[in-house]
Amino acid sequence: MKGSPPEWALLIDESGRYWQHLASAERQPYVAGAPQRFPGKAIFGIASHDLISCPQWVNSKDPEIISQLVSVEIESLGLHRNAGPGCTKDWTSLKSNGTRSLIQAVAVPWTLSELDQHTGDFVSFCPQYSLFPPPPDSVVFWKEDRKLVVGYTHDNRWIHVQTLDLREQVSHAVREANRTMLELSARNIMAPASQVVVWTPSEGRLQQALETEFEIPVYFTSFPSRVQATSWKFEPHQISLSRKARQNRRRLFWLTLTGVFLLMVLLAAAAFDLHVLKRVNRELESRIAESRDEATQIETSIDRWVALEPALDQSRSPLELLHHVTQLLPEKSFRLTLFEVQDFRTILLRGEASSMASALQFKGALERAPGLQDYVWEIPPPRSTEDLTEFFATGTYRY
Amino acid sequence: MNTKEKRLSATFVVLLFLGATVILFNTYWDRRKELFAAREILENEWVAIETLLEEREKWEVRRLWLDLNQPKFTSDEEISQEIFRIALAEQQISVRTSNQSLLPTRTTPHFTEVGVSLVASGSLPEVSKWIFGLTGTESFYAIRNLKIMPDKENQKNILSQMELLRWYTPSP
Repeated sequence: MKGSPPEWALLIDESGRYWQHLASAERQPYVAGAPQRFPGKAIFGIASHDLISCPQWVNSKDPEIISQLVSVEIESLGLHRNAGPGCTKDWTSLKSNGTRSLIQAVAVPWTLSELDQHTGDFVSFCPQYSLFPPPPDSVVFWKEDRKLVVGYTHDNRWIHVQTLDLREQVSHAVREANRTMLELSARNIMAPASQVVVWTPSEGRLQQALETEFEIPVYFTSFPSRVQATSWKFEPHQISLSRKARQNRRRLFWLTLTGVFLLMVLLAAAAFDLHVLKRVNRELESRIAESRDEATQIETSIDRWVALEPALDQSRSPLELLHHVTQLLPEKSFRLTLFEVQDFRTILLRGEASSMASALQFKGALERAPGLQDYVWEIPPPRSTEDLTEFFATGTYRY
Repeated sequence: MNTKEKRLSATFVVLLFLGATVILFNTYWDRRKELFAAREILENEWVAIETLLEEREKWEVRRLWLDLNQPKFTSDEEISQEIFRIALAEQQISVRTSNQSLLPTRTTPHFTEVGVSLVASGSLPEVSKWIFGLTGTESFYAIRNLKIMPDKENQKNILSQMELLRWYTPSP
């Protein structure tokens, strides 16, 4: 099945054949025997009593495997359709339970010449009952062509249909329907029915037989109107696959488009971010370039001043340093024997104290002297000799 | 192309797409880090320049002062003679100098240095006064190595061993 799904169905009921639009339920007449102009792609609707139904659980979700199993199952019922025109069997998946699928399969026990004559316009067939809304978890009876048809529902979908022979007693036909329901329930194909619905005017004999056999409420209602294709429950599997494939393609397309769009947005945002960063850097570079010459001149002035500083800054003059040191000397009991300044950076002091206390006093004063804070002092412990205490200190310029 | 081949192709395309996205993101992130690192360097440079510019006036004044006051280099011979004459301290009564020796002339981008090593003796106040008189701010004299110790021959005096330098404008 390729391309768009069918829009029309050729259906048949007591009034004869007619075309029905699946979406709008619009009807168009069908003239039997005359060459037909198809309104569009169509499904050939088959009366329910002309179908053989075969519901089953299949341990697969693969359409090919399901198709093969359905063929084997249908053929096991005695229908051999290895050759002949048109599609004569089809299935639809009702639900999936993990890897298992609940399948509603139907087969036509004869050649569908309509499908052969109009190849390419009739894309498949469908059971007509699939166009009627089923009551949930129910057993539904209706009459078609003087035959009693019973349909079984799983939740709110058809799962099986069976034609009952009314030539025998009604009670026999009803018992046959009940046995089928019990078998379907036992195989977990449908839940135990909660009601029996009959789409015919009330018939006393039938009602009594149903109530006696099923022992659940029995309702008689008029035949429901056909639903639109939005709730069309038997969708031939090829159409389902085509629709799902189209939905997947559309989803994939939008997903890809969204992904590409998001990527483009991210790329644009990234490009903009880099552009802004580059622009800020360029502006900074430009400002720096504009001011660099002036800054270089200032730096040169600073370097020159710093190089000449020993001659300009009196606080680094050796005499100034000597003055600071001598200010710290105790009035008595300490004698400076050496004052040396090396390379503008290092001060060496050597002295003699009459006592250890005087030497330590000078040491403390030296380390705390405000005028000598630019120097880091290394002062070993004063050393006592026979009658004096020797003192030695090294100060190194910090900067 | 069957379903498995289609899935494989789709997976390949998705992986390709994801790979390209990862590469693009990585490239973008690396480039961003580079730009941030460059910006940090530039900002630090700009802060340094701004700091310099804030002190522009002060350093401009100092540069002008140096241009005006730093003694001009004339010739090696002339500046050497001048400092040697200073080192003789002929006009000093209380300070005696000895062991005068010219130091090699040295030129840096900021000055040409001429120097003399000498030993000065006298009382500490007199020697200090003489050195102080030499090394005023505008004279561009500097004492590089100074060693003061008591004069063993005369306990009232000190011996001051020093290197007296003068910094002229750089020689051409």
